[in-house]
Amino acid sequence: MEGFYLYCVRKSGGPSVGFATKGIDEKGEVFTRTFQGLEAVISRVPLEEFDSDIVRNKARNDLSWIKNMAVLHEAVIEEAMRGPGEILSLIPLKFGTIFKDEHALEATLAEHYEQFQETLDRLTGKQEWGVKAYLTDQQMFEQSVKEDNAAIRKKAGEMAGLPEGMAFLMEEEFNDFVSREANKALDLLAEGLTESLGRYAEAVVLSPSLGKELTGKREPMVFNAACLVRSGTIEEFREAARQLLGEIREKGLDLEVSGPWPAYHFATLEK
Amino acid sequence: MTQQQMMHATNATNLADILERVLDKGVVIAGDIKIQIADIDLLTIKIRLLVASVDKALEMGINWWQTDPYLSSKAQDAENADRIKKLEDEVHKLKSEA
Repeated sequence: MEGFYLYCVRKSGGPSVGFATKGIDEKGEVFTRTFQGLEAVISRVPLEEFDSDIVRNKARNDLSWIKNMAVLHEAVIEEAMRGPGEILSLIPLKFGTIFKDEHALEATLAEHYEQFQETLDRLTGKQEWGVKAYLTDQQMFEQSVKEDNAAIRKKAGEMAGLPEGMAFLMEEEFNDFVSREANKALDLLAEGLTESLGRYAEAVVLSPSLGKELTGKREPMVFNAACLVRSGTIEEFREAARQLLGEIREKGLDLEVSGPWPAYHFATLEK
Repeated sequence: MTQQQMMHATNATNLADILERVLDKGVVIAGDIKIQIADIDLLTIKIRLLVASVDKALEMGINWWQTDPYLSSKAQDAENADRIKKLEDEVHKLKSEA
């Protein structure tokens, strides 16, 4: 028996060309079903495979399986986003949303019809962009904090006047103090980035920084934001990000901008 | 409108971006006809816990997974027994001299 895997919902009226990307099972064609101005992007999946203990077990324990599935899921949504010469607004669905038949799918679209329409209206003409910052050079950052921080300069001055033995004893305390101040400076820097990006975005959502195992980077992530930007002001937004990068690079940080993403952080259904 | 260049390629960073979004976000629609594939949330939490514990251990310079407490305590016992034997001999010697 086959079911329908739902990737995303967008407004109908776009190009009715077929999808090049295959479905989540790497076999099924991706196609759309129209429902009163909404368009569901779906593919057929074998129900007995996706509703089985084997898949449930893999979803719990097999990280490489999960990674592969997430990439396949995302690839379909990214193709659905690409209109002729523009980025279409859409609502990405939670991974693993499957319906037993078309009637069930239609009933759900009908049930949430107004919420979908409202959300799509809210997102129309806007794109999600990701901005992440990494601490690439901790020493450089601490150095910049030492230079900017009056309290650290004062303590360093006091230590310079002490006999060598005393200064040696004070060093550990001084280093702890510098680390604490560096952490505070990092928080302030994140606040500053949020504020600056907010001037070029409709909304900014902060997420916890991702671990090194997920990023595959040696440098720790220290800032993780998603920005909702008007399509007409993307260039200004990216220019602003480039300027911010210039500012923080001198302090030992790097900034990464990615997008446009499906509006994962902003496509929430209002109750 | 100008054609927006898609900046994604599936490199390591973007894989993290994809996992973060696809597994953590996305609109949930309720309904009894929905078939949910297992506990994805649980998995992401697991990954994060793993990252935290390994990182912390490395940070603290602890390589606890390389030491075998059974073997090392055995070695310690043998050493202690040896020491006790020496002390007992010395006590005997002192007693006989007294």
